[in-house]
Amino acid sequence: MTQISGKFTEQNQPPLEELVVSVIQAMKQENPNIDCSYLLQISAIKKQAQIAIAAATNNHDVDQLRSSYLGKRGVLASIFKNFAEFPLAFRPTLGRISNQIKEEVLHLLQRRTNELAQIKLTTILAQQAIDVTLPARGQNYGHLHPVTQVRHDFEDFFTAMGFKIVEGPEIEDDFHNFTALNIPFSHPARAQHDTFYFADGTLLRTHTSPVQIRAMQTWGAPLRIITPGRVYRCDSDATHTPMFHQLEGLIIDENVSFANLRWLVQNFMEYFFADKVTTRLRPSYFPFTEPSAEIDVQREVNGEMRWLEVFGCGMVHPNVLKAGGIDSKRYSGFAFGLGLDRFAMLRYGISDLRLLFENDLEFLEQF
Amino acid sequence: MKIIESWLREWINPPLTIKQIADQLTTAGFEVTDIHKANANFSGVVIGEIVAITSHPNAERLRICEVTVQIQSPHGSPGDINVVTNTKNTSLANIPSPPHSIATLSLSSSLPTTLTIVCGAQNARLGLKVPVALIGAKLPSDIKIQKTKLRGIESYGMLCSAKELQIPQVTEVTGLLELPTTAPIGMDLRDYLNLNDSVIEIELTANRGDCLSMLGIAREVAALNHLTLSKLEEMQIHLGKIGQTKKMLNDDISTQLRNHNDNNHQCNTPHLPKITLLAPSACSNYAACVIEGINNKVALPLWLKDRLEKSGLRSINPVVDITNYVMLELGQPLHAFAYHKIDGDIVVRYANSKTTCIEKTDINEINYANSAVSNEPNSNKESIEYLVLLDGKQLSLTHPNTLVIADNTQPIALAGIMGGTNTAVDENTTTIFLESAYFAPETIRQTARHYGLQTDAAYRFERGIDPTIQMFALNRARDLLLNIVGGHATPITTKSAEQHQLTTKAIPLSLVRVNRFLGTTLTPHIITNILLSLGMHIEEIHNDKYLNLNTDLSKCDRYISRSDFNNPDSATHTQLNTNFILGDDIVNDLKVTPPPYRSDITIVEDLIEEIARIYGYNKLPTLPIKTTCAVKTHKDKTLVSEREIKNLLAARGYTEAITYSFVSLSLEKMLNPNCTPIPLINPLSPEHAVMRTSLWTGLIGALMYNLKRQQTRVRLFETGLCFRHVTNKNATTKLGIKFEIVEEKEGDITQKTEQKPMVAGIVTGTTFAEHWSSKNSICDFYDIKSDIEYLLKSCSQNTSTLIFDIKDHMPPALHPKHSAVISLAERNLGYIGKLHPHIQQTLEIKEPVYLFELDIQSFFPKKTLNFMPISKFPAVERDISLIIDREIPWQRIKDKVQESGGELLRDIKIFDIYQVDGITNTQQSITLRLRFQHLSHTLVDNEIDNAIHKITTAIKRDLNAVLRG
Repeated sequence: MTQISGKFTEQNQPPLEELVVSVIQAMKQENPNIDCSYLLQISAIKKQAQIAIAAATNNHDVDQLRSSYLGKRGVLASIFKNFAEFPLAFRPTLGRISNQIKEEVLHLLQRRTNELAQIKLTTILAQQAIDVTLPARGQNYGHLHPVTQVRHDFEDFFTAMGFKIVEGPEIEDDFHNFTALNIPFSHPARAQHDTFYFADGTLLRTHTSPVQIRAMQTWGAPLRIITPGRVYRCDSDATHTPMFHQLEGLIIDENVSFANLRWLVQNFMEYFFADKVTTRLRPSYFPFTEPSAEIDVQREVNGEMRWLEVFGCGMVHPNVLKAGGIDSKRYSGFAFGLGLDRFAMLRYGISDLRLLFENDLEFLEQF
Repeated sequence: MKIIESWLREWINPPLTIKQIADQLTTAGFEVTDIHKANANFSGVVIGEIVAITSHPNAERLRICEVTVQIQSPHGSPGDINVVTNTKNTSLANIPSPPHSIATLSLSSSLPTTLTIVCGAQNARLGLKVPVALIGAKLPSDIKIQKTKLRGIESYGMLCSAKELQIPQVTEVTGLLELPTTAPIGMDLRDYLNLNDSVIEIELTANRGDCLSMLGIAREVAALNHLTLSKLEEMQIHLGKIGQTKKMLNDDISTQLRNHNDNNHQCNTPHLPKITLLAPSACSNYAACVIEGINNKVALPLWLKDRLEKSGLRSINPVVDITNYVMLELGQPLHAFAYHKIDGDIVVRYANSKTTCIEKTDINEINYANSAVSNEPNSNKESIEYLVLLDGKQLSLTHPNTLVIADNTQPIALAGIMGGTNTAVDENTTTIFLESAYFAPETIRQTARHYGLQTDAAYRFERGIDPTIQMFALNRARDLLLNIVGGHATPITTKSAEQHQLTTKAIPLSLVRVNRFLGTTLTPHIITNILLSLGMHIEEIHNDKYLNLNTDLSKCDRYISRSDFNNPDSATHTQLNTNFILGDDIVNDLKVTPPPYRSDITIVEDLIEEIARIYGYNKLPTLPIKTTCAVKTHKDKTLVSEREIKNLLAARGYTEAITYSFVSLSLEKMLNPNCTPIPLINPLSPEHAVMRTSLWTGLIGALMYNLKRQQTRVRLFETGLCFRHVTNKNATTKLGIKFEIVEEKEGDITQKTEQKPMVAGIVTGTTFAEHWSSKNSICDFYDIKSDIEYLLKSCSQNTSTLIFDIKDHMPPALHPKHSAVISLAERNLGYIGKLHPHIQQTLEIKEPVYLFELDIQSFFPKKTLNFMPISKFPAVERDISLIIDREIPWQRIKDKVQESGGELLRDIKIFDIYQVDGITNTQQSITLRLRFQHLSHTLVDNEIDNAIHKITTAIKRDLNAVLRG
């Protein structure tokens, strides 16, 4: 649509009719006999043009109206053809009137052309209508396993705190899985581990702690790592699967204290639950930490406040530091370990651990 | 472990409710998993006596009893209630507990003290004392007792059986619960039978064997509440008075005489058998005595029976029950042998070593994995000894370190685990040989595990009992036995192996270190008082620098007051007092010796834990981590992260599966017949018997699971390790840490276990999810290929060198002509292809299945690249059509065109591939669209023609192609 010139906007409409009347009066004063009859038609022509243009239903109608009003033999041309008969002094005013009526008609024609184009476009667009509520096309989005999602979430927390993510072998030797972790051959904790063995004496790691030893041996102190991964124990029921996931963390540095461990635990729990939480430390026993603690979190379960055991932690046992080649006189550290599957169950309200490893699409696609 | 409240309070009685005690124990490391009332809930049941009994006029089986339920005393005070003194504690007065009084229902004033009750029980008889449910009483199964008419006779209550009250049967009698004649009439039955008692269940950690007894828990409760365990002292004094003991040394052979009890005047007094400790490292203390003339048919006192039952122990016979009771009380397992069934003397030795003492000290060297599979006895078959255990199980004692108690001819007990039937005590036994010994935890643990035996005794020995309590426990048992089953006892004889005595060693302790380790500012006063309350012996180390610290110690009281403990000012949790730290030299201030029963405390950290535990973990401060650890990059630049790969695959419509790393051998063999998977020694099931050599095995399992559940379109992926034995190959992996590869020698070949992180996918069904607008096509090779290209182009560099190629040795799981090797910069990444139709058919899968598997470590992580300038000059496209042998792969044509086209050739596209009429079916027509462009000028026809000429010449010459049109 073309730009409509400012002076023809509705608000600035010059009083064309008044102008015509005043010119006729002025000319009559000078020359009462002057014939102004066709000037008097201007208002009528304008009204007539307005009606005719508004009635045009296509571009052809508009073109015809254009030539019948504005053409060389058009209505307006015939009105102003006797221009020269008028006194000279009035000619500029008459010229202005002539231009103005022409422009007004032109504007009306243009507007109608645009309107017709718009109507036509609207009709075409309406014919092209689609149902936007129909299903989309293309590849579906896949789903990451709930354990993976929890793991990524935890990795975000710990990497932001300067921890490095480290993984290690799953077929381990006895030294890294037990002996180096202060679980010598005859230690009762071995019996509780329900270990899968291979013929050559190697085993499937029962926890991700062996990675701690490997990390200490590789990088020494100071150290900040988390070790997520699969672990294995020969046990199977609703709360135990022979394979599950752990995430362990380890900090070794000068002057790392139990108070630091409490601080990290509190922050981590508030991160996981995205809420202020009350935590409780309970003295516990793990061969590889001393002192050791279990962390309980107070949560509402069925309208009742309960302590949920969430993970185990403690100050790294000097024998473990020694096995990792770290001077326990200079460095201290703490470690913590948690079950990723358990946290996934807690987060998503999953009651049976085995669901996590059935790989049923109906289950996996919920996450 | 079950702890009975009334029993605990008898030992130590802090002014706390049982809930408070339970919380205290939980936060001190003894997790209380349950607190429950020892008995069912009922009320309004009192003790009554049947004072008259007549038959019912209208019913043959019913009788009318007159029952006295209130004694005729003006003050209503109960009669003789001394029967239960053993279960009551005089100091109970200060805790909320129902008074021991007569029936509290408001019936006493309005009802006569003798009630008429109609009863159908067979054992109702005159003078019997029975539980009477008064009108208004509530019984366990929600029965409310009302006045009723039974066949025309009004009955004012109900006489109850044990079953109706849901209390454990005290006697074998059916019908009414028969109470002892001493039971006080009118007393509430709950009080009389101690039914208001609570039982708390404690989950003990493996290191606290010392707490597997009432004594152990009482000691902890005493320490936590700053109380003295006076009960122990009382008991020691009491037993000290009655016991005449004689101690003998193991090496003092000459004095191993028959010990006669001088006070015993019977001429056929049994002598105490000679005791020889042939395995002193496994059994370093052995105390014993003989009790003769016992009556093992007596009824156990109610309180003792009650405690055993509530502790979860089955009653066997009085002697066994009493030894069990002492075990629960003091933590020392005891064993009673039928004296007359013992042949001669007692030897504590290893099985199969009758004559010689073979000490096997190198137990540690025995490989568990091997011993679990095949256990070669160390001696020849003829000498293997047998023992039939009390539970009837017959054992051949093949384990080399089987410690036994033997007489002159044979083993009579599996030491510390279970006795043998050959010397079992039964109700007719009149003389017993009573043993109280210390057996080394390791020996018992190995033996118990080897023979698969879990007994209460073994449980305690495995965790380490107090090595100094044998005498005391035996004395206690002897005292109880003499009181209950009667008889006469010989004095106690102990045998000890002096060199093998376990002692706890003094641990040097620095107060600075304690505070630094815990992040606290505990005062020396608090620290020493905690240690003292746990029975530790403290010595000061005099050191000039720290004299000021030590002066405090002299002021320490034996027991710290509660206010000191709870006063927050006594330990301000701010920063460490820097005055405590003088560089890295931490000077030890104290020498702390743990009590003998705390063999778990061996290092400074153990002491620190004890301090933190008693002080309260939750009272310790929290401090933000300050570190000297430089925070370096967390991203390993040599590896593409699994996380990135997972996200990319998910974006391509793959859902992540997590399958077990162990798979069924048959499926593994079907898919990867050329691999020998690593078998587990002890798999849970044949379905999980071997380690996967490829992720495909698990994914096919997951696919079939979903197809069975009516899924038709499955796209799954998994990441994880695959396991193979590789030979003579330097197999290392790069998961941040170089894996130490286990070597296994088989002849001259060195086998190594390779653990490779892989990513794999499986696809079946339509390319896209079903859609209304288009006919869906079943996915094919090129769909999956696109996913691989997307994955690699998104996260790996060098993708211009990405090649899909066919090699001679494709994985047998794949269709040989619908599969490819994927390589990047000539590094083998993995495979892609269609599941072999034969396997597909065997597994009864209807639609074709596509698979891929890539080695994550062979990806090239993206590096920062230098950008290529963009030409401002127009590009020109030219099409050429060739007729070419179908056997020639596109890759070769493309490479040839690229190579011959020179630098002007910017892009090659396949415009069309089709069969042309008039050519043989071994050929096809390919139309290429070539795009030419130069960086610095507009190309002229001549240049392009030249390039085209070079290209066509090359492909004609090298690929035998014919140019069309």
